[in-house]
Amino acid sequence: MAISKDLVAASATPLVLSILSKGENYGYAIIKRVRELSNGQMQWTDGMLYPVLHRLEEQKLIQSKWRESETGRKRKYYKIKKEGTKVLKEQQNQWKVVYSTLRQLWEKEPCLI
Amino acid sequence: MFDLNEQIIKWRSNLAQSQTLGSSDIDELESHLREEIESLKCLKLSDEEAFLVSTYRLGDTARLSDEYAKINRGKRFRQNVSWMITGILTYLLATHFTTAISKDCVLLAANSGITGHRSLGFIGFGSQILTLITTFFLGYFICRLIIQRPGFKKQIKQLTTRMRLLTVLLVFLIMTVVCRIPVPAFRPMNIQVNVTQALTYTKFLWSVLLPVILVMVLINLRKPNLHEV
Repeated sequence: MAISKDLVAASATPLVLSILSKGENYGYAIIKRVRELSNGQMQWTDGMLYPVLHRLEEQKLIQSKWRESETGRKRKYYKIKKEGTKVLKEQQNQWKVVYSTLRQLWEKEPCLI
Repeated sequence: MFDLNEQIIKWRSNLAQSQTLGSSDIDELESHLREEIESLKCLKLSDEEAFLVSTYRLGDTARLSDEYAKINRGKRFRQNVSWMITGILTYLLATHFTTAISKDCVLLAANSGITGHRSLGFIGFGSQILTLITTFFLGYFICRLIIQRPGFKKQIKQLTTRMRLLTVLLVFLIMTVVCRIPVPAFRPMNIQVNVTQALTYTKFLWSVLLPVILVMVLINLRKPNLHEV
């Protein structure tokens, strides 16, 4: 089952912010992590992650830095900023409301009699 | 034989043509591409197969440039405007500078015995064009020397657009003032009639011919259309 494009796009910001809140990371690893966690069901076209990252950086939620990895490859690492953590908290609350609303609707309605 | 590096360079230049991606954006995508290729090669894929699969996964050029266009729109607009302003200032500066030099040449010729206003006019226009060409090439080579100096690109990247524009403006103001400094031998207050006429010819030719030359340069510099790999 593949997740619809709209849903993938909507969840991109909280996904990226959540992964970065666990520590700084780079694009390729972020995509791999999402793929792992969703058992391959959340598929991004890989290149589409980077515009998302750049937008978050422009909004000053994250910051980036070019650095050489242990293997000598140059990578652009992203790190969450204070403002980003705040936005992530807000988004978490919003997603919780959406999730709990849907869950109440999908659970069996209690017997009225 | 499939040459991976060559293919990656081709892929890069194709992305660069879209103009919505900066070189740092492309560097980042290339780093991703190489990582993906390496992990695919661990699965026993050949160089060519790994390259094809990872470029496919990264998304096609047109879609990528669309996505980047959305976030780079403001940046691109500012860039275009600053290029335009730089262009206008350069045009004005070139006019000021070459006019001053050609005026000096006309006066020099008038002082050394040439009196016909037509011949003085041609001397004025000729010297103006020559000055333009010389300063263009000299400026080009000097800029190239400066740009090739190690560490220069890094310094430029640290400058903001505002700083760059301020630098251009400062150079413009200094040069304009320098062009207007009166040199007693060359720029006397009372100018003979035939010299004034010659300068009018020069001004006319300049204002008609230069725009024509510029439009021709623009037509020749048009970017080729984006094409798919």
